[in-house]
Amino acid sequence: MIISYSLELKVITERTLRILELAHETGALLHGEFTLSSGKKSDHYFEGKRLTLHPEGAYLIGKEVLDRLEGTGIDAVGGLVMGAFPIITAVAVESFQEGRAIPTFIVREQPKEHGTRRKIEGHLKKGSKVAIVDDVITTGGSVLKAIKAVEEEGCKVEKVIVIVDRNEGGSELLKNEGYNFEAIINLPPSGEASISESKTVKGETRAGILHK
Amino acid sequence: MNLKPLRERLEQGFYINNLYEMSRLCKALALESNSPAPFFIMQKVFSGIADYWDEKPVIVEEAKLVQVELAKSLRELIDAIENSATDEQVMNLTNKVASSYLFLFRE
Repeated sequence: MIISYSLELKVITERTLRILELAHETGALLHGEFTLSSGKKSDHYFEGKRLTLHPEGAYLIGKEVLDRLEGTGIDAVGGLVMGAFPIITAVAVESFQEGRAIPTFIVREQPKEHGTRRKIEGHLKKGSKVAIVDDVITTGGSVLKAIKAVEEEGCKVEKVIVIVDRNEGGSELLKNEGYNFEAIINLPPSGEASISESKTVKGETRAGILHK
Repeated sequence: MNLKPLRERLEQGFYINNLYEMSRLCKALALESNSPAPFFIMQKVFSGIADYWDEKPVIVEEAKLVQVELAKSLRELIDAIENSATDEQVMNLTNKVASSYLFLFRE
């Protein structure tokens, strides 16, 4: 991988750079020719759990998401199983350590078949302000399922954060519907990996764009 | 029995969402058929591949190879069922589909 500096300057942090490096190191982000579930072809593949279940990955993602939530005034953060699970756990632990504990919740794909038949598990109060997270967004299906579930509980989605945006229409859809969307890593259709513009709350900053 | 939707799906290629859809179609056909075995086998083949590929990086060449190896025998089986071939012919073609699948996904 070569780090080359582009005229299109974006402010990125050491942390987001490390997240992208780690995505390659853990095999979470692969380059090649892949057939996606939808049948579309892609020159990259992202397996989020390889990054979010990695010790350093979980730590970095937890901190990054937490920083991106600063100032939003959210009451809770959550998302759809399985992608969101390790992310919200990392955020919960980090938020507690930093003295700004944020409750978390998880949205089931299907309501529980027995007992409570709950669709949402964890700490979500009706009418609260929430953030939705996921490991990757393609067409937006998973994120929209989570959004719909919390909105049915009268909650307001203040922010949506994903680790990787595949730029296959999902993020555009969310933005068009008025959601405040952010991705840590953008994967343009060209296959060029770049760090998306990020806040510089903590850590040193670096201007540049990362190419594969 | 209408095999057109299954035939059309087969021509769309082997990718996870389509494989699950073909599996669903085959299950429905098996339930309405007096000879469900070929549809049951096809259902298991489609869902087996989809499950194997689910949440894995599916390399384009690998997907093409699986499709090349299986699509022809699947088409022949569907043709045979549609043209009311003998039970023996249908069973032979069903075995061919099953053998190809088992060879490709033997590990």
